[in-house]
Amino acid sequence: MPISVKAYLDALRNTTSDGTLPLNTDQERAIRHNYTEPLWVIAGPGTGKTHTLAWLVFKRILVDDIPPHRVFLTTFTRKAAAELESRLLFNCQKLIQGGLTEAEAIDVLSIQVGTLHGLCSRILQDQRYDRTLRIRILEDELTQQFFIRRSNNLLLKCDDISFWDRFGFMKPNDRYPPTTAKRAENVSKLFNRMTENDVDLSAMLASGDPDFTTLAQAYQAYQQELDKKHRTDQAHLQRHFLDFLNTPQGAAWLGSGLTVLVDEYQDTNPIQEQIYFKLTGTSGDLTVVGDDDQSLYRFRGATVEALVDFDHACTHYLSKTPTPVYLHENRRSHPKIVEWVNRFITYHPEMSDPRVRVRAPGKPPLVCTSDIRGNYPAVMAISRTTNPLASQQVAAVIQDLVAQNLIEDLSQIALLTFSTRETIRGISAYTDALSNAGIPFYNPRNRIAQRDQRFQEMIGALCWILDPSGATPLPASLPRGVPEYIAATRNAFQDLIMSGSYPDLGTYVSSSQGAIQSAHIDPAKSRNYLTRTGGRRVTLSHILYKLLAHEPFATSMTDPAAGERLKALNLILSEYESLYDDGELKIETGPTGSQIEKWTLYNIQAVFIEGIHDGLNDPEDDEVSVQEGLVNVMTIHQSKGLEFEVVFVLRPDKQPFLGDTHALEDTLDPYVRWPTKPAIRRPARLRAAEDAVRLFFVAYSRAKRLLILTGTQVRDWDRVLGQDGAGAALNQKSHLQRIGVHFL
Amino acid sequence: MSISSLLTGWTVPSKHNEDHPHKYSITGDILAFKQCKRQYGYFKVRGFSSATATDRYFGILMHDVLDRINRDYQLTSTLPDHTEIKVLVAEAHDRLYRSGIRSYDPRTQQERAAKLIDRFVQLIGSQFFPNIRETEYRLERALQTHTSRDYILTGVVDVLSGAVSHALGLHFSTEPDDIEIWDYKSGTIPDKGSRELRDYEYQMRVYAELYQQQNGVYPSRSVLVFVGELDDDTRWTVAKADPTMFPSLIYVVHPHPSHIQTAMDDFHQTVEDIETERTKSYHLQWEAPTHSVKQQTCEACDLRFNCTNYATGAKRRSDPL
Repeated sequence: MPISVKAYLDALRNTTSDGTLPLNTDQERAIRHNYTEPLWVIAGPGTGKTHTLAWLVFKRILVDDIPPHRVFLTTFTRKAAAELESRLLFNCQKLIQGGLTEAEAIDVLSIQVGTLHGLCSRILQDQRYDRTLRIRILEDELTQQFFIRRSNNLLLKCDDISFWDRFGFMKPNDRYPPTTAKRAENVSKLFNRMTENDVDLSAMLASGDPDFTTLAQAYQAYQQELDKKHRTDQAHLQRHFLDFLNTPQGAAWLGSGLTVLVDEYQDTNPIQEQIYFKLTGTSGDLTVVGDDDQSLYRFRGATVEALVDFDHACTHYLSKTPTPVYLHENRRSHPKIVEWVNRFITYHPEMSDPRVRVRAPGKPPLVCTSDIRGNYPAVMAISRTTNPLASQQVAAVIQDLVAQNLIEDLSQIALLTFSTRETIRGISAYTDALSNAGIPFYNPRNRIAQRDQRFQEMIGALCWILDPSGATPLPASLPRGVPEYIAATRNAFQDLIMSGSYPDLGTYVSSSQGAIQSAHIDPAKSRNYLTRTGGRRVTLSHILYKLLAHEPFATSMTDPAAGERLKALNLILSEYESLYDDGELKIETGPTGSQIEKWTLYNIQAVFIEGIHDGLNDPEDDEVSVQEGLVNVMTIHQSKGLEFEVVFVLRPDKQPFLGDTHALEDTLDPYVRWPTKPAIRRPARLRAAEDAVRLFFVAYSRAKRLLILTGTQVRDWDRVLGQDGAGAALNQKSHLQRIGVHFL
Repeated sequence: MSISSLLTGWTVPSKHNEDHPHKYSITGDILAFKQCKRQYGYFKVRGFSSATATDRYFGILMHDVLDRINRDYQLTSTLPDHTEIKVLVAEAHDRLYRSGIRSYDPRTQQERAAKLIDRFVQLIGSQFFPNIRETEYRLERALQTHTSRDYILTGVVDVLSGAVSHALGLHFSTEPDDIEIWDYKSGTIPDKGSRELRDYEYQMRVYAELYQQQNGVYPSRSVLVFVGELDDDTRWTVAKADPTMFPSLIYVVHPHPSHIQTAMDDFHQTVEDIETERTKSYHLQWEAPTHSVKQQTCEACDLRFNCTNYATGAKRRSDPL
């Protein structure tokens, strides 16, 4: 039996020690909302959207009488999904402990909660949807690029510069078409966007435009290869799910529709929008929660318009008008940080446009309700003539915070930046300064794992085993940069052996070289494979594990940084092998005995090593993003959903720029089938500006007690500073001081 | 100048721990950890990818074909014959093969799978499939260890009704409305009194407890099927479709409350052990267990060449390739 709203709110009061409702007025309004109409929750940073969502789920179950297994709750990351699931469990326990006996009957774990990809995958498997039964998911972009390389997609052979230029993949001074590896990267971006935007392939093919004809044919060939190899990329997984919902089997599973609640709706793409409305059915029980000012994933196909124009979408799909609720009480940050964030987003010339909605309509500014007070300048800046000088000040401030016991743990401090590459053009000055000052830090997204010494020695060992001379003639030339990287890894391994400290490793590598050289070749067979005693075929992964058993790799496996990097190598190799003959090593007759077959060697070098040679993220633990005892250095994207007591925003001069994402949005636009596509699109230049503003809005709003902008030349920060309350530009130190920023 | 001089009214923030309870699968986590914590830690927690997929391939193949037979049975009330089973095995293999899940000597594995499934269907299919109430029934409960640590325990079973065990001529008394939960192992039954068999018993008792928590009543019994027992060609020839000739094929675990409590305590302790491992320094985590591990498990492990629990591996480390 359902309970009344009043009884539910009384039960919520019983969950708090002082008997107060654990909701503010806005949150209560969201909870009280009638489920027959869509709910449009615009939730600024630190306003408790997860808290509200979790209580809203129980209102749906207890008051609106929705069975728990008919609730479909999604969020953007696996970590956020785990947190939501956990909150649901504990909230239910609180209700029970507060005396609400009806809560005892709720099977919380039957609520469908997860990322959309995760839920799609699980439901398709549970329902045994024939097209996706045991389908293998290409988990990330690199794996997808391996697949595109393996299937020899026709765009990989496209040497036409104008084709690549048309889709935004050429820079003004580029004189040659992209390398094969770069083409695979570009093709994966193109195909994902085509899938997410449900492009009209027939129209493309009939367009008479040779570029679009080629693109459509290449995309069709890619889809056929996915089917043939029984694989799906992440975008196609959603496509399969939508197709499933449109089958009689899917319709039977869906019934009249689910109770759908979507977190982080600002990062929804068009196919996801269709899925959510399809899942809602005709009931109208759709709640979306998000913040357009924190939309960060345009480059992955997200369309902020999904949230900003949600009312239009509801009219289109449901013939209903959603109720907007604005969560605007910020409980996270110091009042001066809230003031800074409000000013930044409100007084920004690029965030308003009389022709289109850039921000959600009617959005009020944030109101600070945090208990963090203190009469100090919570927004500060460090500006020096060079980054090394600025970085020394950063290190000094951190040392001071620690020495004065102003923080409990270094993990309460974050260094956020657009790119965390530790290069001179990136933030190496800052990470160097932390190292020099003896401040431990964690930078998981630095894209330099491939430069790690142990990592290079491992690649070098594999190269020495497979190609002892390093001079086996290959059937095609290697991509730019790969021969140099291989040479560096071979040298690294040679230096390791020459040190004389690892004789066992040297013996293993030379005996393996010998085993390959003396391997039996049966001339009657068209293919010969390298085998071990007993006849089992040898794979590169087998050799990798054998190498990992030898020193110094065995000890490195017990070191967190080196161990995780070697694991990344293992995982990438595993994906490569699943596409390339299971990694089984073919052999052929060479000038001095048997040798690894040339194409096998070529693919290992041109695809696998190419895939890692010029930038490899360090792996991350999905469940722990913040490392205790360390200053966390991360991209602003990575910091989404987190908060820190002290935030340094490094190098505000480095911002998102006009790129292939914006070009693709425009070029593919005529073929996009997005039922609720806005009539007017802002120019690419302005969309890129929006991206920069939203990114820094996220960065600023992570800070709880102290926000410090750090870099050189305040005049270059312009766009990420906004204007003052009178609409005047802020591009000088004095301007910032005028609005209360303290310079260190 | 110290920054503290600027921070009037600063209050020192306490460290915030947002740890959420971990989710543990009964077979994928608890039993895997109990089998070998080193293998579990590297492959399940740290996420290394195994170079040896053989075991996984066979288990998935068996599962997918039995699942397909059940789905077809629910629609048509007919069971496949020997030839049709071979086709189903080939189709399931094709899906696995195309998606990159491979096996050493797949032809032999397919033949073995087809043989075992065919014998399973012949021997107990007509009693088993009509009584399936739900396949892959998801068991999932939030639990607490004895130290009040929250965790979520999950498992998947088939739920059968109608006293299947009675129809199969098993020796205990049953009632027509009995509910049974079934799980399958593709190997043979472990030795009586072995650690492995005890862990399987614990597994089935914990399933019974989770079932009870979800449905309010205990199942009448939990049933483990060791399909690998049907691999004995000589016995099969003389059995002539008599299930009693395979006394180790079906292993029944009764939901005795005190036994269930022992099993639950054991699982809570295993969760504590896993959590303890997680909190250790990286270099101290996931060391080889001190108890003995089945030789078959070690021989299939990619970490065997550097493992204190498998001396043979260290000797073979320097073998080429």
